[in-house]
This record gives sequence, C-alpha cells and structure tokens, in this order.
Amino acid sequence: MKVTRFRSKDELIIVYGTLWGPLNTEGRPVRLALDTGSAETIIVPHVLDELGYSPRQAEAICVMRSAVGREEGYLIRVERFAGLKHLSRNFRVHAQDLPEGWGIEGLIGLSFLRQFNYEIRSREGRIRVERVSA
Amino acid sequence: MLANDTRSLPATMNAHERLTWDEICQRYPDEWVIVVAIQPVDPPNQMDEGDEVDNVCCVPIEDCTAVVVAHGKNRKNLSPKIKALQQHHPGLGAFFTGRLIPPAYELVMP
Repeated sequence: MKVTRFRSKDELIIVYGTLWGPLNTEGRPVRLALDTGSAETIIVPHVLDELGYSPRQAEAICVMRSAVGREEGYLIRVERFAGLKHLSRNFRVHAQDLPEGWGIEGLIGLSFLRQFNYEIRSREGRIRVERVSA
Repeated sequence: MLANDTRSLPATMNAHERLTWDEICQRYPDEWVIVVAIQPVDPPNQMDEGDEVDNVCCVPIEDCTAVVVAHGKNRKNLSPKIKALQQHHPGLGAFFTGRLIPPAYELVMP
C-alpha cells in the first residue's frame, strides 16, 4: 500500500506524476488532476512533444466527447509513467489538449487507476493505492 | 522570456535564486514557470509507505524549493525553451502559479 498526499482544500485532486521519453530519460514531473470520471489518462500534446514523442507514433486517432464538447486527440504509448507512487511501463496515454486556464498538464484517469485498488480520503488529503495482481 | 534576460526583469532579481513555491507565486502570479533543481523542503514523510518511485517528482511543488529559469503567460510558447533547457536540466518542470480550477466550473454570479 502506498500513500499519496494532496491538498484537500484545493478544488481539484492535484497529484504529481513523472513521464519519461526519448528526450528526457531522467523523468519529467507533471502536475495532474485525478479524475475518476475520465476513462483515459490524458497528457497534453505539447508535453509529449517536449519529451520526444510524435503523433506519427500514435496507435490511433480518437475523439473524446465530454461535457464541454468534442476534442480530437491520439493514443500513444510512453516508455514509463509514474503516478501515485506506482510505475507503469509502455503505458498508453491519450494526447489531448486541455484548456490553458486549467493549470495542469493532464489527468490521471481509469486507464491507470484500474490497475489498483485505491481509496481517496478527501478530508485527510490522502490517496491509498494498492496494486492488485492481474 | 528567459529569467536571466535582465532587460525585462526587476533589477533586484537574482536569476539563480532558489525560491519557495509561495515566493515563486508572488513573483510570477498567474503564469507558467519553468523550474529546475527542484528540492523538497522537508525529507519525505516517514508515514509514506513503500516508496519505490519516491523521488522529488512525487513531492508536490508546493512543498519544494526551485530555481525559476523561464516564465510566461502561455504554456505552449514555453515549449521551445523547455526542449532546450531539458538537455541540461532533465528534472525541470513547468507549473502554473495561479488557481487550479476548470474555468467551466467557476461561478458566473456570486
């Protein structure tokens, strides 16, 4: 069981992850929102570009429909992604723009979370995460 | 704008000054900042169990000190600088100093 802390007074559940890529093999910290309402884990395209990934490496072009509209993006695998103190290799993320004003570089969605059992303790500002064997 | 571009920065600014997150937010309100040499203020909490991926990247930037090397209002405009800087500072990060909230959820009327 690993414990990740967040600031319970914030209006979003903000956590920090790390992404690795061809142009950054030591890991780049990213500020993300935890979103159990998102099926995919989203990273904004310019971060992936900075890390050395290209849309040409995309597995698929996709469209995400949300409460605020329809947004085109693509699915791409990153070498490593760490979030909530757990590491996933060859992890698929959804490259999609988020509004600039959100102040985050992505969302941790169910594609990452479903590897685990987890407990969000909002008043305490703690997320307890346990990896479950497949 | 690079932080060490003294033509457009306050004369009192030290380009390589290590700052707390609160200090960074005060100096660069509602901006994206590129920071390097991120270090936690306190050692990792002993109550955090099994930290196999425990490094600075897992520590909230609010609990760290760092050196601002560039800043700007538009995140995408900072991309070329990030690509150049990460060759020498692979652990750099880009963070927004303003309020983190989806604009769609802001109240239109109080």
